[in-house]
Amino acid sequence: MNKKKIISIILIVSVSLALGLFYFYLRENNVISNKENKKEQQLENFKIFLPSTKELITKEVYAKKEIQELKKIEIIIESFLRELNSPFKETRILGIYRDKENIVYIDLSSDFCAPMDALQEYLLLKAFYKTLKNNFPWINDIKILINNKEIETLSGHFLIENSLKEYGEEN
Amino acid sequence: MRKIMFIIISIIFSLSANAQEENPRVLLKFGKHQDFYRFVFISEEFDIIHSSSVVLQKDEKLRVSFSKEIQIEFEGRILQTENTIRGIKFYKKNGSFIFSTSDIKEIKVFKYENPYKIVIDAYFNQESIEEKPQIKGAILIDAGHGGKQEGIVVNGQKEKDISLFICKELAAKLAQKGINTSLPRASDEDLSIKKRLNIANNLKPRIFLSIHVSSGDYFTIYNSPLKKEKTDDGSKISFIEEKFINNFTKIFKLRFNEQIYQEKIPVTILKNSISPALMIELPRKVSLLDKTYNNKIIDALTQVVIETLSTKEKTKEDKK
Repeated sequence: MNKKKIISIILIVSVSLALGLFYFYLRENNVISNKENKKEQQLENFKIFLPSTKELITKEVYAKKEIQELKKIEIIIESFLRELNSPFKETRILGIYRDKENIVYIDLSSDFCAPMDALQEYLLLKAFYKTLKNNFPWINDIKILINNKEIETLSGHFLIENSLKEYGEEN
Repeated sequence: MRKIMFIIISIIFSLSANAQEENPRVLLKFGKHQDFYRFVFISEEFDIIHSSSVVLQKDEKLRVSFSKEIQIEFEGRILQTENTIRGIKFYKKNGSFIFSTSDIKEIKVFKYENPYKIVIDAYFNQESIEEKPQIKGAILIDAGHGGKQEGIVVNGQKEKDISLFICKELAAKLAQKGINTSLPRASDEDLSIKKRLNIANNLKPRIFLSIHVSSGDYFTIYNSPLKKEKTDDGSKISFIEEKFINNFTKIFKLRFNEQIYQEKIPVTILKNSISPALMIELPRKVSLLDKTYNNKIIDALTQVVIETLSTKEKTKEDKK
């Protein structure tokens, strides 16, 4: 009789433990998937253009969702710069401004105007323009400032005082 | 009998000589004023002046015709079939006298008596005259970068110095071959893209060549896919650019082991130039110290320029 009681108690305890573990397992999984869902909701997908040897290549990047457009632009430019070689990847963003005609002014550190070949300079300007224009179609034009100043050229081949449009939209 | 024959022949010769001399003389006076040339034809005969006609041709040359054969005397000498009067070409064609200035925009003609004379004021385009001294630069050779804009650094040397050296040597070599050259930058100075472009577009060279150095071991020749300013002779510009590129590729392939690339990108000075414009990036191997390699490049570039220019001349002649 005692034996039967002991077996019954062990069975009850085992079943209770199994049920308890199963409950906790389900709960844990639910939390994780919820967390993943939340994380997905917080990220946004962007396409950036990058200069390669003779042409542009594209890359998908995920960045934290932002409401403010200028903040979004900053995140995209940071992603763009990170993908470049030295010294361009060391470039710091000093400011981003937008005027009433939707021209965006990007103020960068002088690392961005390092010496390069004509083709490299062209691809850099084109990639920069297309990266912003592709993700923010409302942008009418982009102007690059270096250390808060307008400059004639990045590396001596292309005039950038006025606009980047002619390089970005050139076929 | 022989004596008689000799006398007759002499008489015939003297008569024909007299007949030639009988062509009335018209005295020409010429002066250049601030914005017009003044031609004055003076004759003793009323008919010559009265029946003369003056026409400004479509090619902006001045044609003066007289009703009969005359001789023109200028500064004590009789003008021949072809002459140059103070820089203006003058020739006789079908009985008319052509003054080949090619820049006359308007003429005013006055006829006077006592003495009989015709006064022609030929107004020229002031700008074209002023530009003439600049047009002598057939080839404009632009040394890339300069001053604070140092360009890339190869073998411890700055692009601005290498490009300047090559450009100066190339200009000297072309000058030896009788080709006029100009350099927008002849020393280590800051020269903006806009200034380079202004020089090129004022000078209107036959070829505008910009020399740079590449960060790779290859030659790259650039021209612009399209010109900003659409000129009347756009197809001519493209033709010369393509000719230059073909000659460059052909000659450099024969003489160098390095790869040769061609790129069509809107480099500002190429896109905005109203003349045929090309940019060449030399391999990073180029060095101020390697005279043999530099001379090889300069010789090859000289040949490219000469062949391109001679092709252009042939094309002009073909059209004629």
